Amino acid sequence: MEKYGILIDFDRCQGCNACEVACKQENELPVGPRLKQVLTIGPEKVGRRLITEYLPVMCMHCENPACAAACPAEAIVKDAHGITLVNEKKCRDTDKDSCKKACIPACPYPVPPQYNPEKDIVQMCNMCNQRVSRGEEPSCVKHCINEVLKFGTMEKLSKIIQERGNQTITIGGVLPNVFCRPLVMYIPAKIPYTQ
Amino acid sequence: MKGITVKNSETNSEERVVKTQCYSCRGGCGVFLHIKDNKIVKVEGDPEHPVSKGTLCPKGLAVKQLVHHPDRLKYPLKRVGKRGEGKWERISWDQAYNEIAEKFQEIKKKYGAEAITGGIGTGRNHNDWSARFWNHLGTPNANDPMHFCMGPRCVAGYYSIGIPAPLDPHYTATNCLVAWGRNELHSHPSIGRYIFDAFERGSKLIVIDPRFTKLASRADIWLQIRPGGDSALALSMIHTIIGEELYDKKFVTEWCHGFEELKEHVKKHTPEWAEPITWIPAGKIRDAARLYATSKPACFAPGVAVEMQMNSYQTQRALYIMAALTGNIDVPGGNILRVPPLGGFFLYCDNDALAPEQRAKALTGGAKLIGGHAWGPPNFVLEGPPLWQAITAGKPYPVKAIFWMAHNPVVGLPNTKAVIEALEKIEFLVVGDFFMTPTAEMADIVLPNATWPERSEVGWFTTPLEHLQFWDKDDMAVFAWVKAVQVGETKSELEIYNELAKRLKIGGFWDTIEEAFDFLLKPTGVTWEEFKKLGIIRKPMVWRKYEKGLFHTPSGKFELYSERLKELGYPPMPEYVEGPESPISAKSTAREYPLILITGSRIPVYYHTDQRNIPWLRECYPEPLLEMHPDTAAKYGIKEGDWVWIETKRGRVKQKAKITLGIDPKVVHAVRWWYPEKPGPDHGIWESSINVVTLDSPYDPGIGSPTMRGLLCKIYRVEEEE
Repeated sequence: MEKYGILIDFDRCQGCNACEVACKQENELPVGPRLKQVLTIGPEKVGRRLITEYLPVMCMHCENPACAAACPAEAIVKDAHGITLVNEKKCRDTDKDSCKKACIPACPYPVPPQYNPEKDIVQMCNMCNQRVSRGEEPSCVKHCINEVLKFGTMEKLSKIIQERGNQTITIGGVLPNVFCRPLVMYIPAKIPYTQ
Repeated sequence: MKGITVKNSETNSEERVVKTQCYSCRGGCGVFLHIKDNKIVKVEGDPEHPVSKGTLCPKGLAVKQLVHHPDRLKYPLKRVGKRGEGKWERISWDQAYNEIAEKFQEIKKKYGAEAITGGIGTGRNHNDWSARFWNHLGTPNANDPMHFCMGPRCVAGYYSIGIPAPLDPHYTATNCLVAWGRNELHSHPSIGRYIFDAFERGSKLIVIDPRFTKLASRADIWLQIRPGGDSALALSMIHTIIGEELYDKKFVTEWCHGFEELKEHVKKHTPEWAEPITWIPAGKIRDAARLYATSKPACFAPGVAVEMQMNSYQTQRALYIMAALTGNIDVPGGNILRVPPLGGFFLYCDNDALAPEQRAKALTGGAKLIGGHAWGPPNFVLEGPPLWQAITAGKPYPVKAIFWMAHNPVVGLPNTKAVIEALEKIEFLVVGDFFMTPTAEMADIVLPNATWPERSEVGWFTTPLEHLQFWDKDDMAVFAWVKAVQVGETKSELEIYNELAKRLKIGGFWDTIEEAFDFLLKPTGVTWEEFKKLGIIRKPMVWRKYEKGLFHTPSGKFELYSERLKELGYPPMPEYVEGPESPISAKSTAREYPLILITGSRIPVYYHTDQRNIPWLRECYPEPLLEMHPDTAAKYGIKEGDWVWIETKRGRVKQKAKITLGIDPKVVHAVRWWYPEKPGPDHGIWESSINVVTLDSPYDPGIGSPTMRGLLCKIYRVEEEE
């Protein structure tokens, strides 16, 4: 099976939160769990320049997810496309006092599994697999105004990465990326900040 | 992945899909509403829409929480307790119409029609209907808050080119974009793509903004202007363009009137003169002027930032003059002279229906350019001190009734105290809205208005919008919105005007909304029934319309020098005017209030005073934030997240500290705010609504713009017990 991934070209992100609300709608989420978030970075001095960026963050769909390793109920699994999924029944059936939602602190990335109190489960991005199976794009990708988010097979995304100078950016520190190998990738701004 | 059709996203046979337009802002993005049992279950972007191309911004994506919000007003309500006490009884539409009509008749008979004022806020597609209704009723006091939003651009257009239109930027072909007090990425997120496409094509970018936005971070030149310094900056840029002979000599000779006068006028406005006023080094001003004048085509994106200040229309006119000097008027990549697809501007206000002797009574507070008679837009009354005084003191004559729809002046207009005092005194107040706003709380009768999925409309028929949502490639379009659901007994404004007109026995309206739509669509040759199915009518864009006689000025040219403004007693060419409360104009006030306050930058999940009660949106931006520089925070002992009092001469409100390098240490920025979830009638306005402390007077002598940006304030931490 082909692996799916999401490529984030944050150069064009305007911080409008459309992806976040698209995700809320698609997953019918209450206030609280935020599977997709947009971080504001800066303004910060970088060299002689002042820079500000918006960074959409979400579950990184690691090939080797730390959250899954931490879950005593084995409720977090990888599907054939490499998507990290929560087995909702298993998660709901697990006493949260005993598991202590160990998946949440185990995640080294900005958006760990999100607890939904209405369903008593943790949730994370599932790359809208229900939409993908119908031949649609994930809701955040479809609705993103500036084409910041790109969804596709790793093969397709690798091509884009190559076209853009074969560079990716780590957002969770080097070691987590070496260990977890996320399928969500970030590429740097088209025009380097040094110019 | 591509080519998503409606069919395969229909998963349930009972679910139907309605293709319409999102109007969560003034909008116009294409949507499919998925409806089941009269409820929106989902909204999806329409990939075939020429502008939004299947995408949506967060406001559109959260629409089901707006439409089906538990606090929606669903039925007409009548006040049964004291004013503002929050005691209501449900009444029928029939009773509401009758009581409003009777009261209007009574007031008209006793005090004259001018004792009734009515109108809208930003409005959703009913600017013309509102003006039309008041014109036919016989009152000159119709409002539309054009005096501080887009009106200055229209007035500048009228006196420069003879057309009351904003000159919109044409991002898709520009080589140099000047974003002047307009952060398009947050005010109209759906346009963001056109700006990023322009960068990637190699367009230059100049940003004039006291705040360091993402646009500023991408700018070739960011001019961190002192709030209020805009006219000085514009004049010094004109000085540079003329002085260094960077202007388009052919266009100036053929199409501009008054060049020699302008040249003489701006001689003194050197960049060195502007430097202390604008806080921008003279060299940087020259660089910006040169970059703009030499990167053809170049466009301005003028924003409300300069309109919520004194000298509003003159500053906008200075920008238009720069566009004219450089030959960037109505050319691809320059500033577009937009003509709405259904013809001229404000065509359906029926301004002629009002007798001139009634028109002369308009409460304009001396602001002669405020609208109506000469240039079209439907604001006649100055919704500020002149109106409040007529209500509270009966001077120059009493105003006894107000009828507002889609308008929340208690939050949106400056100097809240004056607004509330007037509303406490008014004899009869009718407010139509989606929710019980702090303004609706003061009403005698509250009417439930329909949100966009609950109504059909011919989208934006003649209003000159500042958006390009209507526009893509080289054409302009008018869109159909199609009703998808009905919540309670809500009605659109047009339905309400139609019925009230009938009961008041005044002309100008129709039996049904469909008849009105057919009337509007007449020039296009299609009926509403046909248009509803088409969804869109497109009209090709024509460039350089001035060559076809579109400069409707007395000289037939772009008027750098306006005789008409001079005759009315206003400066014929833009001048530098300092705002009423700045460190330059109010030195003694500045000793006690040392910081400059700017307010109301756009938050992408909200629109104006709307949507603070939509859970998915509020979660993205839960609390009002006051931006300040780290040095300022350190000086006043403020930490990130502290509640901070913002005090001006008018009072104080509190917002939460957000410490950022993106603002000058002498400037702070507060957002517009209220708490829909807090108890009425105030809903927390006295706590955090920044317009409690903004200034309504003195206002711009021409168009009446208040000062909501560039005021003096002091800040201090909120102590625990407060």
